[in-house]
Amino acid sequence: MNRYSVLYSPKFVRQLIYMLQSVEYDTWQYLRWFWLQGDYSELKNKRTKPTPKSRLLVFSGAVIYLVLASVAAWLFLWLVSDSSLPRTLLLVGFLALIPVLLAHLLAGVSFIGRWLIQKPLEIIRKRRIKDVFSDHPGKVIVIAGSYGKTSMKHMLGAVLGAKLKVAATSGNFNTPAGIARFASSLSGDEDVLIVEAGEYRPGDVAFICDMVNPDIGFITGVNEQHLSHMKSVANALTTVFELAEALPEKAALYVNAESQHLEGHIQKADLAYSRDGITGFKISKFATNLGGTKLTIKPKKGQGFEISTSLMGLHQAGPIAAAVHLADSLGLKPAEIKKGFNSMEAHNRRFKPQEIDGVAVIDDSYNGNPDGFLAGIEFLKRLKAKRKVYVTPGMIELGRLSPDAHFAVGQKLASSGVDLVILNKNPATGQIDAGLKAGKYKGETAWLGEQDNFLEHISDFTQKGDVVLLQNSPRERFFYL
Amino acid sequence: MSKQNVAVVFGSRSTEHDVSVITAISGVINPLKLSESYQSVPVYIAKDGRWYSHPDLAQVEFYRDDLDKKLAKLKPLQLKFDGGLWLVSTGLRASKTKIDIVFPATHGTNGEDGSLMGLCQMAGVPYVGADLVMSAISMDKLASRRVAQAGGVLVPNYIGFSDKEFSKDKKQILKDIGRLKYPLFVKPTHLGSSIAVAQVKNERELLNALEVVFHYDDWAVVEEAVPNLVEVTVPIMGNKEFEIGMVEEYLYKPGEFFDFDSKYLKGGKGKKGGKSSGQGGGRYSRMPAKISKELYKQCQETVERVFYLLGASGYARIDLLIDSKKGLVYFNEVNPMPGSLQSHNWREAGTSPLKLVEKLIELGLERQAGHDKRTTSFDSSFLSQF
Repeated sequence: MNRYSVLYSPKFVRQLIYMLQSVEYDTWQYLRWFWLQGDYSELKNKRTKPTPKSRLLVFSGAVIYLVLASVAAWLFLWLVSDSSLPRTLLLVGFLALIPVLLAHLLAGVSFIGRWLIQKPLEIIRKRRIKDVFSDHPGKVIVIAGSYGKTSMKHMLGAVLGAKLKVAATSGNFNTPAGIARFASSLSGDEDVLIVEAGEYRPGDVAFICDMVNPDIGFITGVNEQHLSHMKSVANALTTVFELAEALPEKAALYVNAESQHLEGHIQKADLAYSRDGITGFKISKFATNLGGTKLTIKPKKGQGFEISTSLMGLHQAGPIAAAVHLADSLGLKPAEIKKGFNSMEAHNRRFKPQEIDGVAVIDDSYNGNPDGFLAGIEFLKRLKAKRKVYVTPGMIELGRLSPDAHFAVGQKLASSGVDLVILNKNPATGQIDAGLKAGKYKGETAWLGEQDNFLEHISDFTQKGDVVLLQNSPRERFFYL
Repeated sequence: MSKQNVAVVFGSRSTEHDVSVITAISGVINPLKLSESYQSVPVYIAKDGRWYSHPDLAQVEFYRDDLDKKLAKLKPLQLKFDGGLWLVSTGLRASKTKIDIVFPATHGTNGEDGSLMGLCQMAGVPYVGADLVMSAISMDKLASRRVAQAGGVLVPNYIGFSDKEFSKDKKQILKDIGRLKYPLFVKPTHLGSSIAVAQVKNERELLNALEVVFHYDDWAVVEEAVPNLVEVTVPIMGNKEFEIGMVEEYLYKPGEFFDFDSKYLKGGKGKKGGKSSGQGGGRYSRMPAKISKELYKQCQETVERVFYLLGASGYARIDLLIDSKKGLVYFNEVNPMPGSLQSHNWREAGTSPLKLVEKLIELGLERQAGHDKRTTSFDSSFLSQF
């Protein structure tokens, strides 16, 4: 199917719904994508996730498609009865506009559905969730931030889980619907509930906090991620700090002091954590490599103890300190804390080490934010390896700050001793290449196709002794614009 | 800078046709996807001898079902030798693609045996791998044994003969074979991938094995089995200076030998990295071979020597047989186009499949540059006599 015939096939409806789903039903982003996409045959293998919303849209799309096809057929018959030039032009014009009409009518259905169905449902859902959480005796921890939320949630779950009964929202389902599913799964006897609060628009974090009533808060960091719909870092900051507003007075708020954009926003009462430690706990003897991380953490009063975990990277030090502080405040002893860390494995696709065909691969393919990228490259820089390979399709949804962020990644790579940089060809990675050249990079650069998955070709491009860092995974070209 | 076109030629009329498809796609075409300097152009020779070129031919899935139907939809390819090699596609959307270098990825007859190399040489087109002479000798087990032996390399005691000789003078040939010690190996002279190779313990088995061999080939080699056997294989590449891969040891149960099934159907060579996960289970080889340092060095020296004797041109994988008790290294055979280029071996040695393919291409270009410098015309008054 070529780029023109695909616009008239029934599969085009599914492609449009896939796009709607991918931008989380943001009508303006969807329409922007529609006008920028160009060649829809590139999306031919994309699938929608089957949800009630998507099924309703598929049904609506099918109805719209049939109606448009019927109108086209009627116009054709009308033309056959009297083949005048105006009628011919009308038919041709209508046929040409069918894909546009289909896309916009579907946007209309989604928009109306959001206000007439989704919003009322959310209000009902919110009341139910509020009831569940207000009746629940457990401590509620909410985690907000542009990045690092799932990793922090995972860490807290493992460490606190060494002694306490812990339940956490699953995957990265950090939306009201995901939290509703989580609430209905609770048995009521959990000691700790961990909720990951997604922030897609201003007000999102406040909405979630209003439902769950947090007792403790974590702000993992703010950067340019999701800037394409947040519009500015200031908006992202305001949204994330809705958590601070929602906490009760004197409640613990843990804040990542290493996040540049949080500088100047951390209050004295906040628990700021970094690679040096946190209030009351100091970190020393930090060592990290492909085998994991070891550090010593010492409370102000009392004996220090060693923590050993399979997590890697200097950027783990601060979150480890925060997790230790929280665990201590909830009554866990050092032996229990150590056990919690020992039991941890890196979350899938989040800086997870694995061996593939004799090559050490650090799979960081879920990471798509500038701080995460730089932390990963810093880790790669410090590793000893026969050859260091770095692979990425770039970062998405950075809005107007995308060129600078990618350029900075390129410059960082240039001075990190990387031997081979492999980039997926798209609008963003051109800037990484520019950064490499500006940083006088001495290694090799190679290019994959836009949608090529490096892991499917890893054996062709690597050799024994390589260490590969893979950051983010390919998305459609629209997300890099 | 625009990329150079590399015509990857595979398939052909050969018993090893299917193996060639995998060699081409997984060994050459896939790695070249990341190359900044070269781009592959798949050129497939079907079992009936027709040539095709189309991007779909670069996918293994194309060859699985209804191959004939799919090929019928493609236009047969034409070759044009006009200041080099051009691939010509006729019809409404006619096109011409200039080929900068040919990468032969065929196995066995009508390709690996020197046929394809001869075509390229006549056209003055650079090509990758062993040259015409080395390919022809390597594909002939008798010829390669004679060359190795003449160069002072140990070979197991052997006898070679044609089917005509055998039917004319069977008694004498069996008498000559009687001087060899059983068990013996019976091999077709011109086939690879261990097709029709048999181990025999007595004359009855020998006769059966020869019948099978002469079904596939017109020449046979009968040789003594090496005792206390460790079988290894070593890839080597170069024109004037050589680069040697790992000495790789074949693994199999005592009493077995490394036949076609072990190589290809038990998840052996077909899987990347040389790891087998098929019916046989476990790995089919190990690198480096578990032998003493002295034997390891001896293997490398033997491989270098054999490669040099055969013409030292391009690329080969050389199989050796070791009597581990006596510490003797025997030459077994040469494979000028190993399956999937033996890339798993090079990967272990520190050369990625992409780098391997690019190096081989550079060697081919270097060799052609050397040929182009030579004078091939000679002024004389010979014609004035007629």
